[in-house]
Amino acid sequence: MRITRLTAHAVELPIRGEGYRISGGRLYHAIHSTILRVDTDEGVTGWGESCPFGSNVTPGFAGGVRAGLAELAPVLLGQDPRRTDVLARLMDVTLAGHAYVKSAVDMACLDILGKWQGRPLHEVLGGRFEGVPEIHGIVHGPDTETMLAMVAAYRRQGYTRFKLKLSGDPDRDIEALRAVDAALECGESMSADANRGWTLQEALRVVRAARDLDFLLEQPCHDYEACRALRRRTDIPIMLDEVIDGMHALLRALAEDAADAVNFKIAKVGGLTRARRMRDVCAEVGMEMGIEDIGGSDISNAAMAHLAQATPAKLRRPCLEWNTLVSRRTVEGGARIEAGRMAPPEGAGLGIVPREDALFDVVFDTSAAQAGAA
Amino acid sequence: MKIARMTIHSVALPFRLGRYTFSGEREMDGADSTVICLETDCGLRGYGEVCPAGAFYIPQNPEAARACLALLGPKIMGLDPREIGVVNTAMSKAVSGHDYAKAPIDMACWDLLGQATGQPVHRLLGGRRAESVPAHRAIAFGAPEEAVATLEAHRARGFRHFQLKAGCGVKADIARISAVADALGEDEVLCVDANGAWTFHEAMLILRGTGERDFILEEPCARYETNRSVRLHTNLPMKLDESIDDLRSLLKAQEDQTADIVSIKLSKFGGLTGARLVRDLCERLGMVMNIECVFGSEITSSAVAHLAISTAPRHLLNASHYGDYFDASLGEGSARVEGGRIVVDDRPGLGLRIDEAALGPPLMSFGAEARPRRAASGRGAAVGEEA
Repeated sequence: MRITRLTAHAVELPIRGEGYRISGGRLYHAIHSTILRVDTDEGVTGWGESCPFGSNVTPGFAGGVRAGLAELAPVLLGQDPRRTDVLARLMDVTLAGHAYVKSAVDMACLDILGKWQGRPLHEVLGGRFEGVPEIHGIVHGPDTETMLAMVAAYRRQGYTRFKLKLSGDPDRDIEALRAVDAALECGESMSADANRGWTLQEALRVVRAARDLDFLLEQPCHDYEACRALRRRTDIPIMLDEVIDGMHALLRALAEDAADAVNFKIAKVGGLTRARRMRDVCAEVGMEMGIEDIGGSDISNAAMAHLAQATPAKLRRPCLEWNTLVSRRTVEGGARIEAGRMAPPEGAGLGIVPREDALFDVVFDTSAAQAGAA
Repeated sequence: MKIARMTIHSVALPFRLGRYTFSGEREMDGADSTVICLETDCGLRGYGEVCPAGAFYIPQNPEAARACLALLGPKIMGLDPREIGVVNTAMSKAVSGHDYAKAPIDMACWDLLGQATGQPVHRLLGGRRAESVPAHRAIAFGAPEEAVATLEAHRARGFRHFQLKAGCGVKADIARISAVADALGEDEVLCVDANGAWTFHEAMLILRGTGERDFILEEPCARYETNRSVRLHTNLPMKLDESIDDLRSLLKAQEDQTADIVSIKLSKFGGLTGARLVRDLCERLGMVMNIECVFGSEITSSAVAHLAISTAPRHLLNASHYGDYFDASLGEGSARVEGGRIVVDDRPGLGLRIDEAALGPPLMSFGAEARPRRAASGRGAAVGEEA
């Protein structure tokens, strides 16, 4: 089987409501996804998606995805898409760094591999573990009242796990943590994500003020070293995200016991192939994992759901699915989201077919380039 | 003073000597440079550049640099280019990572600060510390005799610092390193750069095979940790380049005493501001530097030279000047190579006289249309309409 064509589509994904707020005053009204179609000489087609969240959360921006795909496409044509490890290596020697670009290619090739095997991707990725992966009700907003209203709204939909997006202002964040904690009902739990927003001194203030609360604290400070220092001075469990940008960082965090859980966003670490390797390491040593993506829509959701389904349930933290955040659907059906859980699609591969109205804006097509050259 | 306009230009720089080859079967015929021009509301023009070696060498992709600059353009409009810290904060708030794409804006701001104050950039970076600094010259892949012939040609032009590219097989590397090291004069310096191509085992074989010969070992293996292991097995001086890609890795290398010499490529550190910080740290921490970039035109060569000439000579191994690498010129810079050494003049800013015809029309532009040029600036005609 050979790759015969790559087509990239730009898709703008509007954020619902008043926008999405994270620490440092960062506010987003839309994110910009790139959906990649990979065609093969055997008629099997794969789909992938890479969607940086803005340009200032993890290193990546939509223009970088498209520029990087253009760089990779010539060497991918003619390759066997089922050899995903070989392709990961080939992409690394062609384009140094820029892991987020490679995720779309890797996702589409795994989709092809699953379709060729006739099995859903979670089976290809190691097999279905028990239960249906949970998802977070993502709680953000300009003030505590908005956050409490969101918790109540999620609860009505069956969510029991909430993730607070903190502001980076320790006083406001202590207030929000206390208020949401007080509003939690039996069987509910929360985690709180500072997205690198605090200095170590501010983080220490928050953990002192919130030491009686039960929550998991995600990515408190900007640097790995500061997070590690915090972890050694608090008994609140710490999850690392932005600073775990690949296997090397994961191995260091494990060796130094710097985290209670890690979050590996699929595109952040370079795709499902690499996320799977990190999952294997975490599963081997018993580290809890948050399986997310940097941004995206239904295609990214499907990839996330498959990998989470193929992760031991005990080590699986809730996922962050995109439809509660973005208003545009890019596939019909897709991952089944219900009562705070997300089940992967049952079809072969990713098990999704993009909607035609998501594919209008072609930013890149190798067959057009070839026709132009001929 | 405000940034009123930014234009982004793509410039192809073909290699003068044809194909350039380095380890891992990587080769290229020219470099894909991106030049930006920042124009202020008072009509000053500052230039900056980023010029990676393809997309495969270090994490720098020319197309992504332009896409990123398109994102940054609107974020810096209206800022005072003399307030370089403010501009850098605006850039880091807008885009995570991709420091290489921010480097041209930073560089252009230094150029403008210099022009606005009437001072050469080297004076703003701490002041002239030397009349000239040694330039180094690369010796690409080839047979041992070819390598020695290239060395002799460089020597005839006054060069005393040479960088031999390695990574073409254990036996071939031993033969080439030995031949070049044996041909060295007393005042000459050889650096052997494997660009991370060797395994630890190969590095050991090559070090053994080259015996007591004296050279600087650069980036022998692909990972920092492996290079640290190599370091523990040799008393040759060690230079690190690819595995030092930010402040944190530099501090780690210093703490571990892995590197005697570090390569400071301006683009890796986001331009002159980041490179100056690293330069100052290296001086304080007692490390020696090679100051360079990846590739570039007169703009990059000038920026490199201004930082190098303002660096304490005992902490500076050498610097790069790309003047005769390419069959293309964007005009006149403030730095030139004389007898194997880089000299820099004292014209304000980066001291550039850019030929705007050579830049070509901009790929993209942001901000207001250019005001009429002041005749005195001597920087050629006004920029053409947007392409």
